[in-house]
Amino acid sequence: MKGRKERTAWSTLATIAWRNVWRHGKRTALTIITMTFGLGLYIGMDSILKGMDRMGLENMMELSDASVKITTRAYDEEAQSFPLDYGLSRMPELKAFLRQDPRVLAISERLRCIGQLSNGQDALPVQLIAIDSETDDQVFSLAKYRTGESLASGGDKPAILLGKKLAQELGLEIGSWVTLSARTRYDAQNAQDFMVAALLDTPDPTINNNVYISFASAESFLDLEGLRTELVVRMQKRINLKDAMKDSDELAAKVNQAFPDLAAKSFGEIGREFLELSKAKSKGTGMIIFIMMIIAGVGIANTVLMSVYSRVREIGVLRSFGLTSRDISRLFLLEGGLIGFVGSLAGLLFGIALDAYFIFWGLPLDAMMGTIDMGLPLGGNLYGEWNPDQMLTAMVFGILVALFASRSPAKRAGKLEVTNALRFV
Amino acid sequence: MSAILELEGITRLYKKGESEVHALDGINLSIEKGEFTAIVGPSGSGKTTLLNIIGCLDTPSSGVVRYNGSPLGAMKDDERAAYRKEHISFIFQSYNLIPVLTVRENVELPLVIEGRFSKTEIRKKAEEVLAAVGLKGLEDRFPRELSGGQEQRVAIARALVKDPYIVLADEPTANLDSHMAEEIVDLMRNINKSLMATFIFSTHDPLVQQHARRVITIRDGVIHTDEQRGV
Repeated sequence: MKGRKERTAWSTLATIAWRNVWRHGKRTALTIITMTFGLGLYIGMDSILKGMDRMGLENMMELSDASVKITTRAYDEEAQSFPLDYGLSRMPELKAFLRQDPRVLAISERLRCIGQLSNGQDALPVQLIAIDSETDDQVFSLAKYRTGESLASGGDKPAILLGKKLAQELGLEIGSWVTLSARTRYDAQNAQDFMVAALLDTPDPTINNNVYISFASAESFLDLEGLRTELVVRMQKRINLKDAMKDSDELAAKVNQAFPDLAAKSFGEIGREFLELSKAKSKGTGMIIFIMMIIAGVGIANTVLMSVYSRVREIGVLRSFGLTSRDISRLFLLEGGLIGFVGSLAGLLFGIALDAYFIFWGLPLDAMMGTIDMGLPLGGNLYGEWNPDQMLTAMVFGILVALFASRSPAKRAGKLEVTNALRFV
Repeated sequence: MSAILELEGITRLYKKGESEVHALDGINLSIEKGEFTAIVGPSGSGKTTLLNIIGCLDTPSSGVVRYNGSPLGAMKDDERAAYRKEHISFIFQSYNLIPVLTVRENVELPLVIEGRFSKTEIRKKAEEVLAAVGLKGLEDRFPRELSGGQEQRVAIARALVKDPYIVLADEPTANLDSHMAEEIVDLMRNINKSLMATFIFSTHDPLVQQHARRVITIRDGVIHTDEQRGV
């Protein structure tokens, strides 16, 4: 019974607080709008950053690094210079080991080196990737973004697959002839003419600058003699990216344990640098939002303080009815909390609307960034992701900021001398 | 009749810069239960300070206040709040209604804070007292929609709704015209008679003083005259 009566008292005080919040509507609305934008943008940005993480990792897995990439340890240490000195050995044994895992769908071989591509007038340095044209499409999804013939179609002319951006820079199209030069396995400079068989226009801008040739062409061009520097593995598709990362992490660990001279890396591990960059961006966004919330906090503190000073007599009346100074502080804290709640709720709804836009329509990165290359595996349409945990955190944070900001003016209201407050006039 | 309130040697000093001002200076007073007492005197004579001390809104610098024989001194903030909640009601010159609450919600507020009654009981009591002060039909209006006289009636209803032992009113008719002032004092007098609630009010108005059964005159913080009347 006592509990119900206390609830009645608090519901009346909450009514007073709620109506007072809207008594100075413009002031309250300004604070709420600041909170709405602060939290809404935070939720929206978080959705985009999560989408960037997913897109970046998916692009790595689908277009450049597969689920797991295996090289020798020596190659891995010098991987930045793409050396042709450290070929993979025991290939059949390694492939048999990989196929024991039921999650492995396909395996292919690759080799990378640095070359130069010339259209006869201009030349650009390029990353040259030799692929097994029979199995590469089973591991990667490059075919989806290819216009023209596959390297596996086996035309009689030496052919290359060219990133569209590179083709645009050199004014090339399908059927154009180019000169490719590179150092062979034995460090001799070699050059050969190739025909552009197809163009690649992928959501990963880095790939759109690459040159692909088949091992059939690369054998003689680079004097490979069967040299393969990378083994790439495709694992079964998982709906959740985290599960896919877990699968590839497990397989990489198994390979590293069974073949100590090899370096197997999951796409998650390769993408660590990218994820670190993403985390740094996330922190930057968090900082901006934090500053916006501080502004909103100052607004709330000001609103509550103004409310205290405009209602000094009311405080006196409530004290004369028997409310303690603690009750008065709570009343004003409640007002600040209500502003925070309404602002956070509006921010949440705004954030959900932004998320919905990013998730269903996406951000056209190419149209926004133009020819600027961020050096990230991102391109095409960037879609956001729902992140309910972060939404809840943002809302709780908004309410806590409001309560914290109201604390000092609420305390001041409680400390008012009742006789001064009332003046008994 | 027994004394509901006893004041012994009450002084109240205020510091004003370096000097001290005696708002009250050795007040001795005894108030019987059910009295209808007016405290009169010029501005700054100490009327409000006396009412504040009786209502436990202020503490005396020295002296003792006894309520039903128990001293009120040395009470903590919570205890003083509880005393006000359970035993005292206030009527203010400027009515001091809560502007965001309706007439009914304003009148219910002291009972809600007191926490002794259920929601239904509170509603019933508020309607009874609003009918008694002639405000039936205005329950859902906000204070800004009322005249000064109606606002003061709401303030009286709010003061009486919890059946207080003591009602303290500081210049309750100061903002009203003489006709309305007379009506309000009549209302207070009738309630005083019917409920036996003790009324102590300060006033400047000679018309209002005529209705008091006892008139205490204060000057410079000292009781100047204490006159019993057979009204």
